[in-house]
Amino acid sequence: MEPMRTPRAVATGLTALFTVLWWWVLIASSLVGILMLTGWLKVGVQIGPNGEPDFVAGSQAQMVLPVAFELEAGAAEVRSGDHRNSGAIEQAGGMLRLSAPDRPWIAAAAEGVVMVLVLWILAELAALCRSVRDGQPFAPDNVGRIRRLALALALGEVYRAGIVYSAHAFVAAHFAADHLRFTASPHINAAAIVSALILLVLAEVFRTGTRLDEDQSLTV
Amino acid sequence: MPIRVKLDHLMLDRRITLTELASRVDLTLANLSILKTNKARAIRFSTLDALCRELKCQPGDLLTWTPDDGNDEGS
Repeated sequence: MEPMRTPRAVATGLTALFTVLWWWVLIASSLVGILMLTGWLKVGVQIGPNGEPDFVAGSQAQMVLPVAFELEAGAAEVRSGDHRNSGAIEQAGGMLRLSAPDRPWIAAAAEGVVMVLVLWILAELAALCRSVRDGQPFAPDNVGRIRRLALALALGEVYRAGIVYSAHAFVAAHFAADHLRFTASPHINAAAIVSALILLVLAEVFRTGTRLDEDQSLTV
Repeated sequence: MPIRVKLDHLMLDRRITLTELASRVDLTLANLSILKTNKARAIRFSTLDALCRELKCQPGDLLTWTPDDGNDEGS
């Protein structure tokens, strides 16, 4: 029979994982920052279509920005293989790769904030798993930790949407192309906000659990 | 907590130490200390039964209710 893994074994593994990830993000982002500051390496900051940061070094160091655009009527017609159905792409999104890094410090600072948020979330997750590993899942501090995780998630999503919108607006204001018009509209991922709300509910469950745990330990 | 435990008074009357009482009612010294210092949130009937038996008293002799000043958190 396969031995059953205890919750503490899972928590121990997750604590190690989050701690390693925390150090990895810290070291990698610090290293990139130092290389940029000293000019040892030409680093390009790329912002993905969903606002995710990426650093590219060397000859590929180009600035990449997410873009959204509307196509002219008839510019991108689509039809099915059997020619029964047809349509046209009206709105689309993609990546704009600039020929050379332009204002990389602004993008680097923006992505630095993302790194801080990621470090914050990883630190809270590691602390939560550590308390479970130590057999104290209902430690009073965990309520605050889960609330801070919800806050970090919501702030991160608002920030991500802001970054993507800013990139869209920047491209729309400064670039033009044939047969398409760059657009900018804010888009907040509802799933991230719902996740933050679920975490807030979980925090309330933990608050009640903490009180019950205290009642239990102070029952004589 | 407006409910207070008068364990110290009863122990003084009966001339019994906390350690001795703990061994007689089969409670740890730490738990009995929680009860004596009014830090307990709840008391089991079995504990009350054992205390009443050893101290030869009624539950009402052990517990007293005093009006709270209103800032209690319902604990």
